Amino acid sequence: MRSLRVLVVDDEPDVRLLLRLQLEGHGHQVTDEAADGEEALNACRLDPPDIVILDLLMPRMSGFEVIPVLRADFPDVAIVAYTAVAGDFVRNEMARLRIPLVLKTANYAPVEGALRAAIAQDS
Amino acid sequence: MGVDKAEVDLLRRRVLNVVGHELRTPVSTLAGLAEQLVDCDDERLRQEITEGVVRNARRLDRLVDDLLLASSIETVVPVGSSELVDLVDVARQTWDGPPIVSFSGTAQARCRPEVAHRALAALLDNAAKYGEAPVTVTGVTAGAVATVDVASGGPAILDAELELATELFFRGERAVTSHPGLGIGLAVARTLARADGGDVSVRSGNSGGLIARLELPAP
Repeated sequence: MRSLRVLVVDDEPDVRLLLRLQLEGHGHQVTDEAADGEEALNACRLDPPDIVILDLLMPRMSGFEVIPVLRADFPDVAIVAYTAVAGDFVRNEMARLRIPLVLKTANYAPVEGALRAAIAQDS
Repeated sequence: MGVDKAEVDLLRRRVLNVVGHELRTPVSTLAGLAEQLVDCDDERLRQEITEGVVRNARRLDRLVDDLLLASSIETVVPVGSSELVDLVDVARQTWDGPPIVSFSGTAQARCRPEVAHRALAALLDNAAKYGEAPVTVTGVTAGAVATVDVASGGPAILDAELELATELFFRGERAVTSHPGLGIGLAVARTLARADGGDVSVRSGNSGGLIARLELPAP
């Protein structure tokens, strides 16, 4: 897969660090990191990425809250949801929005798979 | 004693959800960062990753402590003998976080110091984590009851969440999306207070936020 420009959004700095290392280790470029939905929107305005890896539960502005804004303001930016636990509601909601969902894991392969799925879906 | 199956199912779901959520992030982050260390030969980056490994390992250590505490919450037995204590003084001595807490009034209670200390520590921790600064601690003794209110700002809390706030493993929406935790602090505080003839309750503030109240018998 071609190298992607990725914005990493998670309120936990260590999760962002791990994703950055994994993404860069697989040839992608991390354009920026954000700790909540508002920071993610600001980062997109400054330097729109190809794709956003988005934690769903964050303080201030959550992933759920920022998704419709991202879709409206940055329709060309793909989204991958990244969360610790997903019950039926989250799975159904992400399926309805056609957003690939990855459960937080040490294994990078599901992240790469979701990036491919999201980009393929948006192209 | 009869066991309500619906209650057991509810508690089981609540435990699995909270534990799953609170364990998955530090476990996956710890494992992922440790793997990154293996091939990292950049000294500065190794240091950054190592610090992340240690942070997440410590977070897991605290989670295990909290789980063990939660597993024995119904049999928490405070030690020591009852003494005359000013609950506001105890709160002042207990708080060792940032200077966002102000203290006023007095609340003379007769209880075991451990009860006052641990219950107030839980109330203050809850206010600092999930409320908005400033936090106020206000004491009053009226008749047979010594009362301390720990008030923090923030959005109004839903009535449905207030009813469950002192239940074991319950976490409000604001808690779930803001700080790690298992949802046991207020439940532990209530159990301890009841062991000494008191109680813990919560209500919304007049302009939002949360007021957690500790009541203990006055001398």
